[in-house]
Amino acid sequence: MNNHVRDLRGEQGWSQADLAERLEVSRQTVNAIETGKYDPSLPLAFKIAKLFGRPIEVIFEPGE
Amino acid sequence: MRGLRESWNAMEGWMLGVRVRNTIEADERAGDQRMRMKRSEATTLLAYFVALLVSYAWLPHLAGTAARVAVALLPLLPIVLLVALSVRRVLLMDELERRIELVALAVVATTAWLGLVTCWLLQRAGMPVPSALLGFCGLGVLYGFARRWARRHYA
Repeated sequence: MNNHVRDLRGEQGWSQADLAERLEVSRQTVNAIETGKYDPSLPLAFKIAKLFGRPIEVIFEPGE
Repeated sequence: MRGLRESWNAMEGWMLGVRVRNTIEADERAGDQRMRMKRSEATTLLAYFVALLVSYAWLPHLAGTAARVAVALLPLLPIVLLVALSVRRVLLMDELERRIELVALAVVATTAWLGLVTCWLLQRAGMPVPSALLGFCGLGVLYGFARRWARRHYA
C-alpha cells in the first residue's frame, strides 16, 4: 500500500515525533508507515485521515 | 534586508529548538513508561529467583506432604505476576511494537514447545537431554534475537 503521510506531515511542519505523539504511537511506527514497511490498522488509518482532515482513500492507495 | 534575514534565521533556530525539545520530551515520556514496566518485571523476576532458591533449599528439610507441595509451588506466585505484567506490557504497546513483540514471543513459544517435545523423545530413547538451565538461558537469548530480527524488518 502506498501513502502520502510523509508529504502531509511535511505540509504541517511536524516532525515524526510530533505526529507520533498526536497519533499516540511510537516514532518507529510513523517511520515504518511513511517508508511503506508497515500498513497501519484500520483504526489508526482513520485516525491519520481525521488528523490531516482528508478522506482515507486520498492518503492511502492500494499498491501494485 | 540583512536584519530581516538575521531575524528569520533566529526564528528558524528557535523553531528547530522547539521541535528537538518536543521530540526529546515525547521520547522521554514513552521511555519513562517503558522503564517503569521493565523495573516491575525485573523485580518480579528477582522475586521468582528468590522463591526458586528458597523452594530448592527448603524442600529437602520438609516432611509433611502439604508443606512440601506449598513450598514446591512457591515460585508459582511470581510466575503468575510475571505473566500478568508481560500481558500488560504487550497491551500497552502501540500496534507495530505489539506486532514485533508477538513475532518474538511466537518464535520463543514455538521453539520452547518443540524443544520440550524433542527432549521428551530423546529421554524416552534413553539419550541424555540438555539441562533446564541451558534451555532457560537459550530461550532468553533467542527472544532477544527474534525481537531484533522482527524490528529490523520494519526499520
